[in-house]
Amino acid sequence: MLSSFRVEWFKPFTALDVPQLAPITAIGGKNNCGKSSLLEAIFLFFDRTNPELLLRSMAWRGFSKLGGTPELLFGHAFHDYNLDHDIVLHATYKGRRLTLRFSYHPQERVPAVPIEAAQEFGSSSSPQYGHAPAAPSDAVKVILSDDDTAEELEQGLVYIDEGHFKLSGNMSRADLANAKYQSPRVRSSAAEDAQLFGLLDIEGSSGHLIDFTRQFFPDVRSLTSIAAGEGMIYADVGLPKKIPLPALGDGAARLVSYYLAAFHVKSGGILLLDEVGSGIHHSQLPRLWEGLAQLAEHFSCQIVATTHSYECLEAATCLRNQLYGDKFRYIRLDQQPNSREVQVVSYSVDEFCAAIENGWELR
Amino acid sequence: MNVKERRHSVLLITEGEDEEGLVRALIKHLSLPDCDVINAEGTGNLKPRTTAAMKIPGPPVHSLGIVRDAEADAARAAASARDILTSAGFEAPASAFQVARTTKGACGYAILPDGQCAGSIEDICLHSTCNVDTWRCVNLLFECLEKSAAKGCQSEQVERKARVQAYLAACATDRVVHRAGLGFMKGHFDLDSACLAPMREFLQALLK
Repeated sequence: MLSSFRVEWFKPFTALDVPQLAPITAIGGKNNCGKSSLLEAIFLFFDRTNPELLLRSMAWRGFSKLGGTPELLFGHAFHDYNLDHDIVLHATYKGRRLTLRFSYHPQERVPAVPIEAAQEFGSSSSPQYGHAPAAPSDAVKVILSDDDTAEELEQGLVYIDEGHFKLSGNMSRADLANAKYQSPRVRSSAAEDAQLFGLLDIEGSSGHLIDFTRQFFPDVRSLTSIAAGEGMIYADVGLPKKIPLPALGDGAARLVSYYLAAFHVKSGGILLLDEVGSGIHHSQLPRLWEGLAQLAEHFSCQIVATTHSYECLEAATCLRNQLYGDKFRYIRLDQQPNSREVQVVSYSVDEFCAAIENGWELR
Repeated sequence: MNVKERRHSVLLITEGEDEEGLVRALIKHLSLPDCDVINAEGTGNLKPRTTAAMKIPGPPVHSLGIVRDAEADAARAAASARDILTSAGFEAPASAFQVARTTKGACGYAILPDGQCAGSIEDICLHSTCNVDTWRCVNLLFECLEKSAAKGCQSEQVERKARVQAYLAACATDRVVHRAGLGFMKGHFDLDSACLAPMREFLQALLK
């Protein structure tokens, strides 16, 4: 489990310490306080082997194409577009203290070694392999190290070649778990969900997903992955024909998507859910939290979810009996008055429930 | 949705509604600056509600006070209040009604009735009644009940509450006030009473 996280010089943060993360952590705060940026930083830590890692979050925020100089392309991830300060992410993961550093190197000579090339920006196609050019290129050096042993675990170079982001070096050696980021704007595609459902089915575990879905949508009798076109999950709800899962409504599709994301990240992995209750009717929100708690338990994964909504937070108190002790935390990011500095306010389960029960503001 | 926010940098947490009434009445009586007063609804809730209330968005908390009853053991109540203040990040004073000042801010705790003896807010009520004649009559009523064996077998604590309620009922003009806290707000108790001197000084020190 990721138990603590510190972000330096990433997007709005000069330094942000999140000392206590729980199996389920809810994050709140006003607009522009950095909730999504914190999720992106955590994702960046786990997704560091993806050559597009520094640009992915732009796609999540609705940018389909980006242009400009390498400084601009790399710069958006750096605080105030200032490439002089390295982005540094400190994480305590499964008891190990790890540091991931991104430093900008203009005109770096890229080694001619096998590399993993990036997919089209914003697309979900599989990475390809190629060879890096020996020509100089603006690049970002990525180094993962173990704070306790001072050992350099991974080193890579992200650079731009022929309009693509590419990565060279020795990444993927630290054996960290998977992470998955989902938001109302960016969810797994229907085809991706169908593919994951197929894998789940091969493992003989699709029954559990169906049982899970039926708790919330009792009409669902079965789910099937149909390969026609790009692939889609269909549901049998007692009608003459099976219907595409999204036709059941946003709630059903989202819950199944969350389930499959948890299946994807598996044990020790982390599910990052931006604006978790958005678009779901308030009466369904307790069910949503119950579902998330079941996923965390069943897949031994961690969930970090942001929300603006008091109703969504209020609904989380339904988990009070399940999430006693250190199993849940609520974290609010507070932007300090007349300053861009962001402070973390961390609530225990009891404090969170006390605030909700008394109708106190906590967002 | 009407969500409550904190508006002041002084935060007072009271054990219950009666203590909240006493605090609000004294603040008004002494013309002290306004502060946030939150009723924890029971001693068991004091700790989570204090630390949660500190985290309500609003001005930084510069002064924190806890007001609770001694109940059976004033020393234990004081130790519990100190633990809560420490959990909230303050350095608690050694004794009740004192206010400690550090770089973090000011804090203290009031243990009713006097920081030393067992008891509760009702003990303060008994010693600060405004209407002496009404109080004499209430005492006569209880003597009469005792002599006629009509009174139930009550603990001392329950009897004190019963006397206070009888007094408040007798004081009523248009509407009966059932709670001691409301009695303080309505002026049925003497807020200048000597038994409230530590409480007055405590609030003055914390809110100045």
